[in-house]
Amino acid sequence: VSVLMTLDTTDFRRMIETHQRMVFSLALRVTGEYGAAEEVAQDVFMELHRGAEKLESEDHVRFWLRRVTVHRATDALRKRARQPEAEAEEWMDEQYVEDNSEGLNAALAALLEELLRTLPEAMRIAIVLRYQEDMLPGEIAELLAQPLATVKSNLQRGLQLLRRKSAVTMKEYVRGQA
Amino acid sequence: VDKPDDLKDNPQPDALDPFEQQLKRSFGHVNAPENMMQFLLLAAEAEKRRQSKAPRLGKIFAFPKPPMWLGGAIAAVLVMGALLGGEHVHRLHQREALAEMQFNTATRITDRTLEHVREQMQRAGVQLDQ
Repeated sequence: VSVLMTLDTTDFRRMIETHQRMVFSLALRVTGEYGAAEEVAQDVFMELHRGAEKLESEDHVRFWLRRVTVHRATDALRKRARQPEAEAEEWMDEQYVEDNSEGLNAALAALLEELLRTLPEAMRIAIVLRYQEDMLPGEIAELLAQPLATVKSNLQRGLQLLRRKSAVTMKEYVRGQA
Repeated sequence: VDKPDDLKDNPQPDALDPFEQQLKRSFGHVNAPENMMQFLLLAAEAEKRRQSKAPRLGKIFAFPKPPMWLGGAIAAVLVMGALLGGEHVHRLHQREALAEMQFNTATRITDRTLEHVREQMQRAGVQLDQ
């Protein structure tokens, strides 16, 4: 769909199919809660359903979904005032981990997910967009409407924190110590 | 000056070092809840039905948008009203003053007439004071 003047059920279904994993993953990693992420994802798609006529292309839809998801997830995170060190096992059961992650150490993935949730909000969002969505710093800056230097700083500091925290338990993943 | 750890590890900003590659592998997309699609389609359908059935209160109570010139026209009518009202009051005052003047004139004429009658009666030998 190049121009979405109206969004019928078929279009809406296709959009959900295309983007639901991205939206839900983003919401999950920012909020750190399965239930909250589900609510955020539902809200985001319903908002898309109401205002899709303003979106002009698939790229625009993806950009809009990412931005709105980050904002809604951040709102949910602040509303719940959740402590970052809360338990992560609730949503890191095997059923939610990628099925095609053969060779991936599931324990390491779970650890990194847990460590991600200990990062301050701005760093966490930057890290998720960079490594989950494979976005470049410039794209993240545009999405978040932040200066590029701020995004780079959050990425660098977030990455440093993750390295140091992971070094405590998984030293083999710290360069220079391997 | 020591470079930050990340710059030491990653001299090429766009290239991912092993730790970052591990992050990328770990932070893949996860499956959305199974019932989310169904929930969203039902919610969208329900919302569409609700919008098509429910009357819009805003439409019921809304007034049509007034034309741009209406404000100017109302102001002109008010100014004209004030001017005409002022003229009307002025004419009333004029009429009152004229009536008062006519009354005073008539009173003076009547007094003079009465005085003239009294003088004639005195000359005829009639004493009105007695």
